[in-house]
Amino acid sequence: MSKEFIIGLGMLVFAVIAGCAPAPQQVIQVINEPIIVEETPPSSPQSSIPLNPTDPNLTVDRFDVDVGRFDGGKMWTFDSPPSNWLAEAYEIEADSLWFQKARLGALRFGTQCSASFVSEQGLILTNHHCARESITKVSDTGENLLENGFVATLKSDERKIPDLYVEQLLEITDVTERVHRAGLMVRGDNERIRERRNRAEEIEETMTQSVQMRDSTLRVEVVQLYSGERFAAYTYKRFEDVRLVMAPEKQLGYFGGEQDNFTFPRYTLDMAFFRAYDASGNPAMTPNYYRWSRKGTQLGDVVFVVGNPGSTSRFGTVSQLIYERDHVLVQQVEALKKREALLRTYLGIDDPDADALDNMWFSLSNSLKALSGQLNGLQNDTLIARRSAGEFQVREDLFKSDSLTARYGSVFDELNDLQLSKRAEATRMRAFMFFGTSIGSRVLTRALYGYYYATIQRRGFVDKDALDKIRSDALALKDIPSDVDKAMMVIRFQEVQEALGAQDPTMRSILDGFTIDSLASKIITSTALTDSAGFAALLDRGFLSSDDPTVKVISALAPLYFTAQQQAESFSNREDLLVAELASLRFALYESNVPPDASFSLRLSDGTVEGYSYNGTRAPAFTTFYGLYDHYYAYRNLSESWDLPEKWQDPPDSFDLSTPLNLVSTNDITGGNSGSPLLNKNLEIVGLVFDGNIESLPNVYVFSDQVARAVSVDVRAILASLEKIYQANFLVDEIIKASER
Amino acid sequence: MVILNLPVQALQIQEDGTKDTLKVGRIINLEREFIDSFDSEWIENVRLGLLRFDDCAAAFVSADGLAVTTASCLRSLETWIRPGDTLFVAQDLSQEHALAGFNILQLIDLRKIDRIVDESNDVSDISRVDVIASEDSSYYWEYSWKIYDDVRLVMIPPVEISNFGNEDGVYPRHALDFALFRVYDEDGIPLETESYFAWSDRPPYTREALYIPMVNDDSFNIHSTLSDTFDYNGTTAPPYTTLYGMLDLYHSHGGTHDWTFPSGWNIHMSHPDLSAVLNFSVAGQCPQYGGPIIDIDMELLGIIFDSVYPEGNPRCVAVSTSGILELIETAFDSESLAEELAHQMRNGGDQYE
Repeated sequence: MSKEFIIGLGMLVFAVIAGCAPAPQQVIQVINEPIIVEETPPSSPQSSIPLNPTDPNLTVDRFDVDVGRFDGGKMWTFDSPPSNWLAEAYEIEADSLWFQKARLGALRFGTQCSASFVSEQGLILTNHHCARESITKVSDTGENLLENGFVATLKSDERKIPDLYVEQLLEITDVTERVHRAGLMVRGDNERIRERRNRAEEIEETMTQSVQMRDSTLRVEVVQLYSGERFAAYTYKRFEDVRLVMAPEKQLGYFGGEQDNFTFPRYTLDMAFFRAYDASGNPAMTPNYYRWSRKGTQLGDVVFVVGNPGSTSRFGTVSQLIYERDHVLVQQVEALKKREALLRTYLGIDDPDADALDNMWFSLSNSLKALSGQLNGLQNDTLIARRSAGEFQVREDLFKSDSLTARYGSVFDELNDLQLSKRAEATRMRAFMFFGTSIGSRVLTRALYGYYYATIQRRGFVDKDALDKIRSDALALKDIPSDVDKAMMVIRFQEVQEALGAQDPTMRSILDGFTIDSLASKIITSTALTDSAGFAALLDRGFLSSDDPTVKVISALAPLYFTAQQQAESFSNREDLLVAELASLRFALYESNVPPDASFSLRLSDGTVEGYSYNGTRAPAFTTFYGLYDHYYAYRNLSESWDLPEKWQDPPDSFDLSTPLNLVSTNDITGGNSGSPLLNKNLEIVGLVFDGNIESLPNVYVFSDQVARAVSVDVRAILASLEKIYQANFLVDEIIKASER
Repeated sequence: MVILNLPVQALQIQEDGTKDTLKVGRIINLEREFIDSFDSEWIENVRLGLLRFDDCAAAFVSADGLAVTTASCLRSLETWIRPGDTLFVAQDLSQEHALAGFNILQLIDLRKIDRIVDESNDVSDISRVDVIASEDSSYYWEYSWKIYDDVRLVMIPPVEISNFGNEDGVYPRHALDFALFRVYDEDGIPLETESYFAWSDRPPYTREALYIPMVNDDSFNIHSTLSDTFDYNGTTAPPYTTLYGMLDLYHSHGGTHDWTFPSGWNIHMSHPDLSAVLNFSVAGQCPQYGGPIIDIDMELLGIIFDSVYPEGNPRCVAVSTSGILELIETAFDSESLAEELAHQMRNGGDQYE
């Protein structure tokens, strides 16, 4: 049910990959509704709603848990800012000016991250892992700024990043009525949603035209909240000239590597500085910025995260969660484990394609870590019980109102039935877990691209751009060693055989008398798809009409795969509609007393700086540079992930190693929050959010602040490093002067 | 009676660096393996270097009766009174503090016999003999013990340091849980000890074969290795922890709760090498705490002070002798002790890479 899948560098980069696109995906995708083999026929859809909508095998009952007021999270909108809650919880009198200040210092950074202004001259702070691509882009030949870091000593040294922009949210206008009016006269859910979407786009266009009359850098985006119960027009100021100012070495920005992703205690300087410039090429004047807190924060302090979280799976039904747990996650984890185990045996081999292999392994093991963490969360009966109790509460409140019951009474049933259909319908998707992604056999993925490319070409009208895109995506796949490819192919064929059965006609046609192993051997020795160049030549000559041994295999597999994908997409569309209904119901019951799910638009989340129980002991709220050196020495014979560049190995005596480096707080964050400022109650910046701890992974289903934590870089560490290690004095001066204004 | 029927698991390192798991039903089986691979002199030296008391173990570390165990073992003695929880360092023999009522045992002979005979071994050293039947009573083991009752405390760190973090059952760990004492002979002279474990100034190497002598009525040795190979907290547990880590925790927790230093303890003033290894963990079931972890040359690399069970697989947590030595020389400022330990070193102290 979750549409997002977080991949790659840090947890909080908002890398949403739509699961059901018909084209093969370059990166790991999660197919929303994998279709699985059911050994027993499914039971007929239930006609009545069980009062306790839980898994009968639960060891924790919904009566044993409390429904938290914030089980759905604390990602407050600036449309309905939580002034009452802040007064109630922290005795903070936050007026509209406070919220305005909180809003205007924050930025959306590119399409995946958050950031903030930290000086009146457009200085921007975000994460190193959000800046990686930018840093690579502005590296001149031989420089490798990603490895070596970058410090501009003068503004003229700052390097413009092609295609990077940041956006500041200037105004919010409620346009709910205008949008809803469009759907009034329309019958049918689908049609109503389409009408509303069209109206929202119209509003976006007309408002954008209007605001651009006064400032060409403004644009309007209509944001949908509570799955369409509220609509708001957000006016953004876009800064399109953004330049790199400072980035630490990758070893600091990514200290601990993939291993330490989602980990705390942590010792990572995941920071980077940029600067926004105006149209005339001068540093942008940005009077709304966050002042730097030289004192930082301390244990127990109230802190706020202002950023752009993606979305969560906190608002569906328990039946969806159980499906997710028992069918989606279990299978994904199993499929990834097999491949991870295979790749692990090839790590560090001497091969020209070893890098691609390492990258595949990193990406895969990181996904495995994230998905396993989510699965563990769902396998914890308390989590399901808590969601059951929450769902029961909604149902009880629903049945108090006849009109709401009439409108929404069946939504739980329908979602339940949909899960049964998903289970009952499909036997194939299990065969295609992660098929056509960047993990697995390159030969088969290329064959799938080849098949898709040829199929599109054969259609009467062809969008050349789309075709070129497919081609360039396909050719971007890096080669991997042949024996790994063959082993990956074997795993895939085994999965297909397990899902379809050995006697299945497709399977028999694929194998054609060969064993799986001998088929894979035959393919790998004679296919042209083991390398990118061979693949390109074949694409141009016409893949499907070639005699490549993969043609026969993929011609049997691809139709099955695309059919299964279409089926999954249709389930997904239906599910989206029902979940939107559910959101409408919740809004009808509770209005904006609870924040809506995140939507990669600006949110404010409150929390406190707190350690937590972990590993049989207590994780402190802060770590220090001493820990950085502890890890450097402790792991140095084991892994390069904790290496330090030379200038860090022997810091000057004046560098105080007890300076706090990372810290944790109870704020609600998710993918997209990377680079968000962590602010104190005076809206001074005390930290830079860059990750969640491993215990926060199940927060995608229920928000909990018991042991889940947001992980930030402490501003004191940033300043000390700039001053003592990087000697970036001009930057330090700028930050300090700005903080004193 | 069964000698020991604990199931144990041990790791053996092959020449190519790969690991084989030896699963053995009982330790008695292991003994044969190791007796085959080590000469009897090695075995005997190891046995004579070991000491036991209550539920704990200790190890001789010098030719002059100096021995090491854990601070927790000593502080848990019923007879423990002074110096309580505070630091104690004897700067010379005259300052060594007699531990009244404290007896310690050395297994001076272990032999397999097929029947119980009346006459005891004709060795006046023997203080006690235990005879234990094999499982099927087809043979017996005869244990001959020497008991020493003049034992004097040489050094014990303050409890804040030896039990830093109060983190029983936890790894990564940063506790300096060790204590040094000296065994004296009947004449009140430091015991001359031929068999002892030379103090090493390095931590174990990655993949180095390590030996954990059992003091548990047998002189077997279990193969083991430095352990990282475990998953923890979403990442990989470090093979070592260092003094840097101890300071990190001290500052991270703001010097509060169990992560405090005693007053006057200012580690920076003494300029130790903060990268010195403090603790490490090795794979396998632990014998008694206070026991040694040694290398093939019988050099002492660590003192076992705790066990952890990541995902059900046992690991022993040890204090590194290299870290102890670093602090003896600096923070504890005991040149004489550092010299005595260094004097026993066999290979002049290779630095780990």
